[in-house]
Amino acid sequence: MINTDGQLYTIEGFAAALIMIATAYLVVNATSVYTAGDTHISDMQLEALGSDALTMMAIPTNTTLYLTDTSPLRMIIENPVSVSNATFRAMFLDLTNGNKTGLPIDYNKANSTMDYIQFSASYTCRNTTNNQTESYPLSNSRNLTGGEHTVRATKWVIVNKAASVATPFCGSTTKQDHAVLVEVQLWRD
Amino acid sequence: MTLTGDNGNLSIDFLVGFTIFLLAFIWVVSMIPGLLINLQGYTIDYDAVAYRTGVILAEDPGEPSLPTSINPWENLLSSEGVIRFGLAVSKDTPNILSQKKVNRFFCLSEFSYPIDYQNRTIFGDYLYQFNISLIEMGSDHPPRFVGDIIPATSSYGSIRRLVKIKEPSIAVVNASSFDITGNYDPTARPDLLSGENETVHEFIILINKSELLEDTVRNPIYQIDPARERTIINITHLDQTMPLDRKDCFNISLTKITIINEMGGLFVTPPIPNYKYFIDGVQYNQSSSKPYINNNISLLFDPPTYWSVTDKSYINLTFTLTPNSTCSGPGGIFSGPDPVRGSRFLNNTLTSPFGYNYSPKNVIQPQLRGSVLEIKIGSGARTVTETVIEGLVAAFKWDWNVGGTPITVNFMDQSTGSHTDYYWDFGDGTSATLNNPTHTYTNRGDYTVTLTVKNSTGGSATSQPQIIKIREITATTGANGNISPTGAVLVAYGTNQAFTITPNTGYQIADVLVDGVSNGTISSYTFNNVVADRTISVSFMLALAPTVTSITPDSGVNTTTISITNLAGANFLAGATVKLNRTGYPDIPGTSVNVVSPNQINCTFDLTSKTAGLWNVAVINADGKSGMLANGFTITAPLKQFYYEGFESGSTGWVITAGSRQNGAGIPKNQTWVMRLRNTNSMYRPTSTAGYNNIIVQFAWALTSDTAGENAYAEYSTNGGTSWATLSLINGPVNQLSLNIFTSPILPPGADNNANFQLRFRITGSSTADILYIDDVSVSGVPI
Amino acid sequence: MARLNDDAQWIILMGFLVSFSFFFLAMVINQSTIVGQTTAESVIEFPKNDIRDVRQVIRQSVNSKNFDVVKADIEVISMTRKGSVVDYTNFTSSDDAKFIQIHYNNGVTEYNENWSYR
Repeated sequence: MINTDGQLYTIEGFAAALIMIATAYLVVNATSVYTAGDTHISDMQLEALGSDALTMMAIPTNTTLYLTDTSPLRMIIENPVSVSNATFRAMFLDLTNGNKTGLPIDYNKANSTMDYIQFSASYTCRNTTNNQTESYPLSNSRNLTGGEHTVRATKWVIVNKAASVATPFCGSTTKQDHAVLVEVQLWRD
Repeated sequence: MTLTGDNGNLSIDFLVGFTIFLLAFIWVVSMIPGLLINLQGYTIDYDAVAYRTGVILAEDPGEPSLPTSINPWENLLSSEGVIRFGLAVSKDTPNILSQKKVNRFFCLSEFSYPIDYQNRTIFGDYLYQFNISLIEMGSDHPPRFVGDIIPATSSYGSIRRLVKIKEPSIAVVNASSFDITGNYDPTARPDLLSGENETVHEFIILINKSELLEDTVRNPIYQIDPARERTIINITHLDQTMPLDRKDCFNISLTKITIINEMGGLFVTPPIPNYKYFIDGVQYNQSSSKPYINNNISLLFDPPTYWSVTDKSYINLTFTLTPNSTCSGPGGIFSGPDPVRGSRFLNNTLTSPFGYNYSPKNVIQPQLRGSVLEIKIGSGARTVTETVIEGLVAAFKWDWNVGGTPITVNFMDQSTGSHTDYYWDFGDGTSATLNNPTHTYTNRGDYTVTLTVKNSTGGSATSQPQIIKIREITATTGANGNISPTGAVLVAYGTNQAFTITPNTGYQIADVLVDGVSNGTISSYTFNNVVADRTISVSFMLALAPTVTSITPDSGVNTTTISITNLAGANFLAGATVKLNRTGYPDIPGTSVNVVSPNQINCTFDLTSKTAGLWNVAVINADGKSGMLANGFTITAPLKQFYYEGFESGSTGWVITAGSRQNGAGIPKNQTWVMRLRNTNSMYRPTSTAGYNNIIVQFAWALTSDTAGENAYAEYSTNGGTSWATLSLINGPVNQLSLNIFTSPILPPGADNNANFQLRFRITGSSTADILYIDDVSVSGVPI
Repeated sequence: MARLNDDAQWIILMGFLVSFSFFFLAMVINQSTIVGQTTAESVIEFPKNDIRDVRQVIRQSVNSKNFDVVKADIEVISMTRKGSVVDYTNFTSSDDAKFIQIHYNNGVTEYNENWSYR
């Protein structure tokens, strides 16, 4: 007859394997595991800050009807480029780098520890004639060199910019409402 | 022959089994490592917790334990009903914070640090150190913060959120747009009957909550929510509602505020909770007496208000115009061809209630103020003491210097570690750089004071802020008197402040209202432990003449000085004098006069050698007014007993029909002998009272009888026995075992100085079983 | 013949045992830093601001005269620049209640909403 003593070993191996797998599976499935590690924390903070800054800029300034609200961001996009660049830059940098709590008032502001957040902003619109998206630069604090680790924050704005055949806006020659996406890349130097 | 060797099966089986085990083992091992990570729990995610807290505060409106429509968390009085703090106005408006929520969140006297904040904002089992601070950009308001001050050298996580704080809307009613001259023409108001003198004017403001909230074309950020936000109504330029030549003819005051719901039912009668008003910039309690309005009045309603629960609310303001006697307009007030009538002067041109709505003409819309919210989460045990930077610890102590207005506080630096520069922030916009400055506060408020010290190497430390609270007592008076101190009196928190009230000559205090509650006519008042703004207001009236209602004791013997314990009456003023007077006799002045209260005077009269009789009691106030109680006080001469008979040795002078003295045991008597009358017997005695007035008779007697009608009588006669008046009687049946003493009152003047005065005792019994015992008969009087 | 002498198997077994223990320890220490997703990563991955923003701009566009132009703008730009599908329709129910049905999917997170308005 075949010697079947060894089958005990096999069975023992199976049994041990099944027990281990079942236990470990039960235990691990009951918890979700997040590691330690501070990777991406600065990204999270930057993204929150950039979103907040864009939200502040997109809050309308007067209280007339919903669609005709004129927020600073909308005015910047609807207005001539040179003016809007400087306005956007000043406003955005002030919001992200500016006032901080925890510092005593009246102290020499030059000594306060400013943040060094840089940004590069553009807006994207859709060309109504060929259904392609076009991006136009808006403002930046300095040019990107390509080595920065950036985070992107975006904000939708509805603009209604005067347009004509001579000066189309995003391919549109009539004055009508457009939805435009403002994108800002933020990084810390 | 042998079959194939199967010994190798043993090894193969073993190896197969072991391989399976191994594979499973490797697989399990690869799953396990993640489990060990949690052992390193709390110290990792400071930034994550800070981010989460930032989201909760900036984007979440907070959650009370009951639904928000009943009571949002910022209206709850304690933290127990709050599940989670959140500062946003609503879920639809992230990053827009509500002013009221911000105020409550950072107010450490409302919620207790750190437990409330840990359980309702930070969450988690581990007690992180935290610091949440909010600064308004471009404002001089110091940053608000709650939490520990986390040193810059320890590890912490932080997040910064940009927010806007929404200020509530303000309704502005410019009363100068009210029609001024149009209705001055009497013919323009034919509905007013001639002679009618309407001086009451109603002005109605409508708050239509559904119209405000259901406006979908408006950005929800600027929505006015009357149930959750403060409602402020400013009515300005009231002094321009009247024509220039009649400006001083009327005084305007707001006499009533009622709130009516859309059914027309009266919603509430005053006092209305959560409501303050400011007249010409000064805050008044709604139940205190309000002065006339010169220029503007502001009403401020804090939620929860009545329009929290109802849809349409009409706020009816009733203005009353009181004619002013100093009117300088043509014809004065009520004379002339066109008597001035109030309603013609304060009449607005609105044809419908003033709407509290989104029209910028009516209401200043909500404004947004940019702010920054920063949250830091750190490790380590909580410390609520000074920060430690480079061995430098900033601290200070302070105490009140002197009381009064303004309030001066001494600050003393107690920082440790060598330091050279000081920067004090006194919380009211001023600062100092001395080491132990003295600062004067001129306004009420809670001032957060911090000290920042710097050492020579440039390190600095800021102390824990301390709050100096100064409260204010507004002391006002009407005309004709003053209160000291007066006006807006600053009081250090928790201390006392006394006020003295002095009416002018000829006036007295009419009423003293402390916080709107009448305290009567007190002349001084002390606020104890002032922890909130209080008010005291006094009104004066022409001093009334004093009146005297009673005097206790009301009689005295003219051989002593008597001390009056309660001369009762009304309107007694300090400095009053008291006297007894009687026509034809010199006055008896009162000495040691003590005006205990306007209703009581204590004094002393010296009655020696004064004439007996009825005297008037007079009280004269310092201003000359007087009052009198006629015949209120009786001066008596000491009594002299001129006749006494105890029946011990006989019954001299008594004419007895039948009866005798007895001395048996067991009978009611005094000493040995007693007089006894039985059956229908009587006895009388002529006793002259010549030379005496105010006759008093006293005797002791006891009656035994067994039938009604068998009585004992004690009588006297003033005409020699012709007619008798009863002194006293005992009604049978009665069985008195001991003598009862009877003392008569002063007998009528007929008994005075009367040679024909007689006394008589008689019994109207039916047998000798009816017995009357009489003893110790005496007659006293005042010698003439 | 006699049984195989399998005494030496014990030595091999011990050898296996020791080597696997080393292996186990090495795995544990090595993998402890890699396994799982960091908190910050999960925060960044969830498109909270994107969804809020898209909702808000869609609500604003309801009042616009060029509703269709704005709609096409949002859908195309979302796809090309944000890599997310945004689809919304404006319709009126049978009892005159107006709705916007919003659908958003960026590949990891999907969001649907019915917003009713007057």
